[in-house]
Amino acid sequence: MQDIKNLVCNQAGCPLDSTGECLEGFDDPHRCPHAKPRIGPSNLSSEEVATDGDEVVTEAMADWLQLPGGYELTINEAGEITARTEAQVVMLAGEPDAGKTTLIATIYELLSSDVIDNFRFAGSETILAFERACFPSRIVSGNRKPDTVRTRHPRPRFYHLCLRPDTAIGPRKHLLLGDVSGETFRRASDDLAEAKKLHILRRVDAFVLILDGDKLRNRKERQDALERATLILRSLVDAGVLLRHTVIQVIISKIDCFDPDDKNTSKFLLHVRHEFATKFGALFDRLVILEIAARPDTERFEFGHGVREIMRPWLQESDFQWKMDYPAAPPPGQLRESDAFFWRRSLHAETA
Amino acid sequence: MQKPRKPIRLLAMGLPQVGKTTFLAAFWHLLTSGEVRDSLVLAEFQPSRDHLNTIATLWRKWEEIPRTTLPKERVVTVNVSLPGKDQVFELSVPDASGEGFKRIFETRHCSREFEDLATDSRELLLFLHPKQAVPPQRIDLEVDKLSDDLDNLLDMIAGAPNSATDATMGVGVDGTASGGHAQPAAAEETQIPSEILKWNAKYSAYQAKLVDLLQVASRLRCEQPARLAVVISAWDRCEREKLQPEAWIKARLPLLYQYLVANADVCDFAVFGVSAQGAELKAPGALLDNIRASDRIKVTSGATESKDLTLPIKFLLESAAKDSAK
Repeated sequence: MQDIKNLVCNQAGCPLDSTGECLEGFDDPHRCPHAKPRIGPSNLSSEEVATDGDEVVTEAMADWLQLPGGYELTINEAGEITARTEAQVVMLAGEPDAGKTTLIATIYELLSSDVIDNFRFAGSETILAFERACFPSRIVSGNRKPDTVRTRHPRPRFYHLCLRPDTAIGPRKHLLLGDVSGETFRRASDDLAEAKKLHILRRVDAFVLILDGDKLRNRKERQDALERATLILRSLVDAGVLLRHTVIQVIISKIDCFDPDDKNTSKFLLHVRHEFATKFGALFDRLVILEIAARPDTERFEFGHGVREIMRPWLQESDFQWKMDYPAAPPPGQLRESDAFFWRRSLHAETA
Repeated sequence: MQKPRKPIRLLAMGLPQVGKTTFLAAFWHLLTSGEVRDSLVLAEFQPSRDHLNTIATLWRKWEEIPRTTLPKERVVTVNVSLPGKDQVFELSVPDASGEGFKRIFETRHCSREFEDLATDSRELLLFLHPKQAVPPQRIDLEVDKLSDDLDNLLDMIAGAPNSATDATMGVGVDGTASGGHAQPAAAEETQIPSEILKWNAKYSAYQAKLVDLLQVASRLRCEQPARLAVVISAWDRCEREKLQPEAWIKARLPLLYQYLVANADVCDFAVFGVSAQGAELKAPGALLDNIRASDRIKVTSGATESKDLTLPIKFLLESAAKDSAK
């Protein structure tokens, strides 16, 4: 998708500027007739152009070809990838500030410095989205402490990664990492109708539910944080959008903020594990509980601690294969036409 | 008998100030002078040579070659042959502005000329400069580094040997800093902004920009197979790191390296360290004593060093020659 910050909408009450959502309901606001480019093809200011030593060439750029935006993909755009490749879809879920976007940024930062689990970076259609997600935790941002910009858009957006085994030139592995605002999942846990709207989850291969470790260590907040997370899972199961074959990964984030000597907290974490195992273990073929410190604040953990473990089932063929029995798309009427695109099957898979 | 001819449209890419025009100037000098044995051979003069002659003169005189700006982009054509071969390659090389490539990344638009060239071209040159090859610097790492620097400073005050040098260099023999994080000796440090900045695509990591350029080119040629020569300009800056060019890319630009290796079956690549100028223009030193202008050139490929600046293009033309022979 192109960067929506280059768009402006003159319709009164349109939340495009604040949440990125289109009042008219267009998944990609660029398609909305009310949205207009903020400036021309060049989004460089004249000041920047001047300091770069070039003459202003905006007129010359008027007929330049538009390229793919490089930012997060809409469902429709992600569907183009699932249609032509055996892409695996991973949805990251959790309450606001649980660390969903931080996890995505950390995956990319890890790849930016080395292979992950013997898989090499082979390309991305959302390289600018990854760079933007990492920006607030880099020196160049001017921030003094690493930060993450919160996901605000209520509709799923996807980050794309193409990976390849480093041992040989094997098949490419396409990952689509779904990111939805925490508020969307909160609404889903409050209201069955809202949960049913997340029908896209029927297509995901892994559902990653992130629990905010910062809340789990707080004696006043931890019970509610646990309950809120279980409510999300339960609501999605009840709504029939989360299916048995989906790999469920429950992630306790920010474990670097726990005091290792605090026995009560350790006991509570055991309780968390027990709750998920007993309540949901029988509902899914595979449910695992993991701990991460994606961007630890202490030297006790390395950067991206636990992230490779989360990715392992996404990358290992034996654990996580393209399925021949993905559920059918929801019936017409329950689905936007553009979203149906997501269910298009890879021709390769059809003939395999 | 008429020699067989094959037109080749070379796609030369690189962000601003990576030495594309300097490379072209030295390349033209080598062709016209024939000073280096076994280099590409100038098969015949093309009608228009004024631009190449002008930039080659500046190069020979140790004068600055003006940057190519967008309105002044041009395509030059040279007719070359592989040594000992009859076939003439009509090589069209764009003297493209790095500004244009910067705009491709930042504005997600490309010129119709670039679209046309990238669609047709199967021979690609990617230029990069060590000064710009700064790995993305995470804040958490910088905090660790500041702590290390403080320790080193305290050691230095206490009179501990070598601590200051180590702190400045931060690079081991294998090219990685302690802790496993790449710390380029030849690159400029990222300036810490005095205020909190809003996101702009221009703040992306250098390696991400280069990967994206290659992806754009691949998409435009419909992912057809191609060959790529990666040229690390100003290679003399990197020599103290004692790494071969490919290992240097692996250490400095790991994301780009992974991308190159992972796609090598559809885009065969080779990496060349090229010092076309030989030294800083203002401090040529003993290089002024060279008898032949080409003596200042240094090209490193794997463990081999030579004066043959045509090597990257030879690498590209060899596959084109094989295709023609089929």
